[in-house]
Amino acid sequence: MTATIFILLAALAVLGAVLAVLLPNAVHAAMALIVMLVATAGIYLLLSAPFVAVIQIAVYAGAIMVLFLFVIMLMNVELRIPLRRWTLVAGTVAGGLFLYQTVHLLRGVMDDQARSGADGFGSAHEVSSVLFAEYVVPFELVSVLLLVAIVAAVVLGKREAA
Amino acid sequence: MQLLAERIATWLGMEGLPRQAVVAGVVLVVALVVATVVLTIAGILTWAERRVAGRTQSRVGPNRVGPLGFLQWVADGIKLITKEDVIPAAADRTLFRLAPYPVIVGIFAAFASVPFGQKLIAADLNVGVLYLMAITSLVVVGVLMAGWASNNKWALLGGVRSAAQIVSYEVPSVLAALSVVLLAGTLSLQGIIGKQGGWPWEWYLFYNPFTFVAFFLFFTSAVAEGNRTPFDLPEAESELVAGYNVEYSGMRFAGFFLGEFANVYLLSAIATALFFGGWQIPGVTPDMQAASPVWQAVGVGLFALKAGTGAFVVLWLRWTMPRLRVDQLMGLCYRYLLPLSFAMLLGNAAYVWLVPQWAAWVVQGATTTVGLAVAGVFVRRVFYHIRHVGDDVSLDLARGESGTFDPQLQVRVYGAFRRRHAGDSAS
Repeated sequence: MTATIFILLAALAVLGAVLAVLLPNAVHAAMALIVMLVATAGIYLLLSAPFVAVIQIAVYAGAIMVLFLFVIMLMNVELRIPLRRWTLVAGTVAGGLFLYQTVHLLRGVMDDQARSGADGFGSAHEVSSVLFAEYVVPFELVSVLLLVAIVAAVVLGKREAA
Repeated sequence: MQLLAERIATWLGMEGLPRQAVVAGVVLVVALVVATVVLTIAGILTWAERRVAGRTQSRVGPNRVGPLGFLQWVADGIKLITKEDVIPAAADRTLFRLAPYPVIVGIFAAFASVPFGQKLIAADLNVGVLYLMAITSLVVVGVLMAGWASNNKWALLGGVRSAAQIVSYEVPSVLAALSVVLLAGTLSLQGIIGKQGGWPWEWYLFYNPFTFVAFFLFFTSAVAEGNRTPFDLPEAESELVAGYNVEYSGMRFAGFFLGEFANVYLLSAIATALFFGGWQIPGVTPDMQAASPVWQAVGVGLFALKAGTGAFVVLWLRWTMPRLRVDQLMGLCYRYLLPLSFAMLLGNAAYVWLVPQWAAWVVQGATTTVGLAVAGVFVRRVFYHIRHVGDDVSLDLARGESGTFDPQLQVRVYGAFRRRHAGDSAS
């Protein structure tokens, strides 16, 4: 049963990702990306990580994709970028390298770590106790980075308005 | 997370059948039941809205189909199903057809973790509050899809406005809900209700002044997220005809429409669970309630009563408040609600950290007294106005009576009220 659900979700995610690249219309591509993100959230759920799954939907499908759509619709992006041969080749090479690296990395950890955790492994409690105890310095650094990005965005926005 | 489906599957025994197939079947049945309940609630709310609107505007409202016009929503539903599903020639056909589904899925899926009663919940997730916030954000995608795919400038403007509004107001509403999560120490809705009690002073609403303010922040932001008046700019009739759903007709329109009303009940239900003690009965402990089916039923009824009152307030607001302007809308969110909700969150954190138990009791008692007093004064004012202005509309044209409503009465009573109070302040 778990395998069936995984195959369905994975197929949906791959389909969404492929469509997001191939669809000529920007809005359609964004919709395909949303399908991919929601399917990925389902896979997180299968890996007994409900907190990550919910955050995935809230942040990516709910907020980031809405901003994408917002910009696409406000700008009324009509340009249909043709797939040139060199972009296909460059994309294939870059994607292939990334895939090779991912598989290579995963192979090393596959046997001892890559099984779904015990009950409560991916709950909000577990995630936060790791995040705020073990990884508190990187966490705070990322917050500062985001703050800097927000301030920079505000400054840039102001300058354009003046 | 323990699914209701698994419990039912174990309860039925299910000899011979593969257990997972049974679970899948039960999940399907539970989903159908939840969807039916939600549709019924949304339908009844459309009728309630029109009755409330009628009384507020001193007219009758629907009163022909069934007693008090109660079956009007069934009639409307049948009408909408039988209507033609028009797709504009210039529309993006695929997205236009798909657009109602994210809206319906987003709102109906949220009901899966609404605790209607102590045992009446489809799935008590351990990330309950977050799940509600996450899954309802799918609505934005549907709204944007509808606005863009209609290929109509009013629809696009409505969709873009709606998306900006929902994304903005989501922040204060989540932060206000977080205040409660902080106090309860759990994200599960049943866990949050379990930490409260049946009596008003045991509710998180009156826990301390910060939660009291947080409730109003949550309610305001939730109403704005639902695109309800006074925040219904995405469908402002005077500017945008009807907003993102202007090109829709038939059952696809009904999808958006029912989604809106289901959302009204959803926000009241979440507020009930977070701030009003959910299904807790005054004087009955959760253990006593778990043991007795009668108390269970009373709890479910109490939850429905609280959430129904909340929904009524939302309907009432719609017909009482004027609509905000676009710039005022964003200003309200980012200048007032957002800093306030941060302040309430920090206040609650400091409260948990600093205030000892005996002081907490005093604060709780004081907040309850003040809160109930404010509510009492408000209710008294409302009834005072109803009594002195009169809202009794009986236009039974069939019997040739024109009723007691006198448009001049309101002016005269208000004049008398002003004169009496002018006399008060003089003496």
